[in-house]
Amino acid sequence: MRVAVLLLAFVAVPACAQPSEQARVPMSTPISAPISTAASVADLQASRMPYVEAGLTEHEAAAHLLNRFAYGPRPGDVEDLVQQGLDAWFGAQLSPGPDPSELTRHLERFPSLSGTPEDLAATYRRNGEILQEARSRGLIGRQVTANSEEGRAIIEQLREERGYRNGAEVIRDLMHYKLARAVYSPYQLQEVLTDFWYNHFNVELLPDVALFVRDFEASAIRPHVTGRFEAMLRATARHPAMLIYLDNALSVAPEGTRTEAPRPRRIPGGLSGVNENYARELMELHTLGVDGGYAQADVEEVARAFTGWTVLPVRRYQAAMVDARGRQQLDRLVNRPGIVRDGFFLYVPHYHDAEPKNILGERFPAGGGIDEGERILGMLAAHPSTARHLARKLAVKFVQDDPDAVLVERLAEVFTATGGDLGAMLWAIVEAPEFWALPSMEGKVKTPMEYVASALRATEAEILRAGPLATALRTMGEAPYRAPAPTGYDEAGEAWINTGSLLARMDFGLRLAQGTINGVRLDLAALNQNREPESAEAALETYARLLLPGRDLDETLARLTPLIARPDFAERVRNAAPEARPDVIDGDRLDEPDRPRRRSSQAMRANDRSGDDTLALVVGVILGSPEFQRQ
Amino acid sequence: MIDRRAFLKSSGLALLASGLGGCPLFLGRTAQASAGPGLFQRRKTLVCLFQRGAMDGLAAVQPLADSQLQRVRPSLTLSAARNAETQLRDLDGTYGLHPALDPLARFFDEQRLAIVHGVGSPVATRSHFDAQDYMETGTPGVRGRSGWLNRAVGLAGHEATPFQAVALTPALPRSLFGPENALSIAKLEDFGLHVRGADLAQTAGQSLEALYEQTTRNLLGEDDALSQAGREGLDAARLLQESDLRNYRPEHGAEYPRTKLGQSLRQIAQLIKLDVGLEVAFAEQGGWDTHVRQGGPNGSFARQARDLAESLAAFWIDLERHHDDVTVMTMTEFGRTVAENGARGTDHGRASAMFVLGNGVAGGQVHGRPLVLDPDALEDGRDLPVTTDFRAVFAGVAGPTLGIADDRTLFPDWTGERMRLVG
Repeated sequence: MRVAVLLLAFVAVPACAQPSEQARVPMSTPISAPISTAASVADLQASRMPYVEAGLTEHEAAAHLLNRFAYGPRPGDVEDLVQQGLDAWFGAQLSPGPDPSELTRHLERFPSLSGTPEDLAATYRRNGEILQEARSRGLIGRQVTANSEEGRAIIEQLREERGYRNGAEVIRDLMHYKLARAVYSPYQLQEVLTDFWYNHFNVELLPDVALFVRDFEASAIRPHVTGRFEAMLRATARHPAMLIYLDNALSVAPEGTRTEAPRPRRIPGGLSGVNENYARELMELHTLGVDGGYAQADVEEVARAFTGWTVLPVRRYQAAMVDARGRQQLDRLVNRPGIVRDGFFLYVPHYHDAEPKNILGERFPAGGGIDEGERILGMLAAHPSTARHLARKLAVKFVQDDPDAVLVERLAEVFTATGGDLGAMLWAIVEAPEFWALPSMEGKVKTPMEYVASALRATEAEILRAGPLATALRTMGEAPYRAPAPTGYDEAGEAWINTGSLLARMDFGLRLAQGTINGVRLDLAALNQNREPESAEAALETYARLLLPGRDLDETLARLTPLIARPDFAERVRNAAPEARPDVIDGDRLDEPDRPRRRSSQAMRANDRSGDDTLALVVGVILGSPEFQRQ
Repeated sequence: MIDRRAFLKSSGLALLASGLGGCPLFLGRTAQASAGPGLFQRRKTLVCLFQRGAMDGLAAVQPLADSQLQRVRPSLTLSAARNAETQLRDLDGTYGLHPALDPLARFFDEQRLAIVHGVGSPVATRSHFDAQDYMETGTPGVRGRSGWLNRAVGLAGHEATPFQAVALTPALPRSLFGPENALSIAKLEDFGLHVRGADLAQTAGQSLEALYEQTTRNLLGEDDALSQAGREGLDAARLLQESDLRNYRPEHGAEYPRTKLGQSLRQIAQLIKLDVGLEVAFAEQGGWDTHVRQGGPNGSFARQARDLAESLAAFWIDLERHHDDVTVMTMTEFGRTVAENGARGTDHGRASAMFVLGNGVAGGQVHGRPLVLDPDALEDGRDLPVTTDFRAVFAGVAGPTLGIADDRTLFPDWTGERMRLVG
């Protein structure tokens, strides 16, 4: 029972995964010579991307684009991109359309993903919140706890009566949002950039911002990622997620300071001073950069300018939905003269410091109100330090961990000349020789998110539940939406190239290929149109080229072939009896939805175990290989 | 220096090739028998705990009956009295320990626990990121160098082993980043490859090893970081397979809190007992950024402090047999404002306090210059000034513990003197 015999049932065409060079040339190019010569010269006239000068074929260039500006290629993507043309593809990626209906339908399975923060505030409740509502409505006494019989009963009753869903679902759904969009969206660049800019304006997914995180990404980040930086900066500054995360929602003019409107007699506890957190991160992280030329005095003045930028308390909003008393209280709060309300954003003049200010050398006269903050955002967005800071971050993200100073300067000039047009900066990157040079081509290692998403795309895996994937990402050090500091996750490889994280990646690759990651289904044979390779060796070559298109795989194949082609390999596969299977490793159960559990390995065909195991091993090793870690 | 992989292979642990994934138990036993004591030369272990977010040193170790402090911190100041649950524990007539840190008090009494007050960085940044970065690299004001603990591993100069430096964190902390071997493990039990069938596991392991032997990619001709990290990961996974990690029982009734820090310390204790050559261990605890409602005997500060004290106490009790070989040091990026803010919390400040625990430690004392809290004595009129450079503490602890003499390499550009903390 040799592997080859088992696999003979299928047409064995080991070369089928590597169409001839001619076949890979775009249909529109009327030549039959090797593509590195005539085709590329023809392309050179059309393309804004200097990949030919770097000695790359169009296929290699397409693969490089997909590795950096998408979450990696799916089988066939490189050929499709070449067909479309590099410039045309990039241009289309920079003008994303609305989500395709399949993605929308997929995400609709997760109810919290289609709601506004208002909807979520109305629908999602943790038990403690329900208990509080019951107390304030006088349904139970103050002493009743969630664990008591009475407490449990009232929680259940209110969930039923008012249709409250479990607050933990919001977090579970977000994991799905992140992974499904990264893997399935046709507007890959939009997702890569959304991840990048979310990380730039990082808000950690903590309980007090959970209702706002998806909206923060969807309304403050994603619409602006190929547009103007200033628009994104302004959107983040007003977003409740940011105002809460960096404590600006609590920042009010100190007592004794003149305010824009008379202070009320009673001020809620915790609201009697300036909080500098947002002001500092706004300059250090969001705009100027730590060496961007501001002083502690600027931080203090900017913080005063943003006093009164706050958030309508979610609890107040929820109380208003429960009864007339709550509605009256909310009306009283938001109908005060001078209040600016935009969704949950509130500008409260009686908390705003009305004294004159001096910020980055500019004078702000007394009584500037909400316009002071807006003026500061404009100043910061147009500042040359911001141009340099963002240029460097983009160069690190897309070119190399230690980018050339000349490239950074060039990108900064584009930022300044275009008024902060982020799309123009991205064009400048692909037009830069540095992007196509060796240090860029070989110099970046995938972050865990890039690794996981690219492995799922390369294997055309189907995500049924994202919880286990989020757990795997956490093990690798990049739990989605959970970067524990305003700085976000590191982009440079040094943060991710460590023994533990790499071993976790190898393990992920092997488990993914074996079908032992819960909630993920894949069909490795279908990747090769169900044409099974005639030997383990052929499987290795075929799948390596499917999973890593456009790469030089000589060394990878040379090193693996002797091990895979060993005569005792088939026996080893046969010895891997089904009872030796480890239990499927579960993800974080809190993150799981309550749909029936299903061992994804069942989705693999029941017969033909040895062939499957061979393929799984080969694919798992390729996904764990150093070449697959490179971006 | 002996190549660590050659070292492993010569140790007999290479027998465990099939231990990747479904490890046959008999192989584990064989290896244990051959691996007995002496496989690694006996070494001391330095355990570093990073309190991220900036611990309020004035809340942890408070000057007793300081009227100035009581005035500017009305909701945070505690008094010293008999009730250890809610009031300060008088340490030396000058300072009191926060009640949530009470599990550490007995170590102070036993003169194993030293406190250093007024510690911080000469660079007055109040950014978490910068301050952590500078503290972890040990080069205030300069970016992008190696981590100070990574340099410490190199300066200790012992033959390299996979578990020489381990961070119980999902990603390697900056402190350990650099040319020397360092490993980050979020959870010991899950460290390894999960492949069905021992034979296939072996093939998978061998295949990945063959791939990570590639060293040709680095343009500068250096050993490629990716390849090196991959090989070390595979070696380390093999080594851990020999021990029954899941059924670990702490000794002497030690009970670790089920917190991230508690579990990290529990695993560090396991590694120390496994005698795999651990010299530098790193764990971290977040949540010290108490801008809002910091609290007195209860509240957000107390919660963090209790976790720290209970975790550390359990660790020390569990490791009784190893007390002579283990030193623990806490660190935090900066302190917090002397006055509380409008939200009954504290903002980013300057100096904080650090704890050092070990048998050789000059314990039972609060080291450092006496704190002066008059408004005139404060930095920028608001913060406790730094009177001890954190590098004096780090060198004073790591130097004697790891046998390092060269402070100028450990902390480039530093010309200060070590604090005498470990004898």
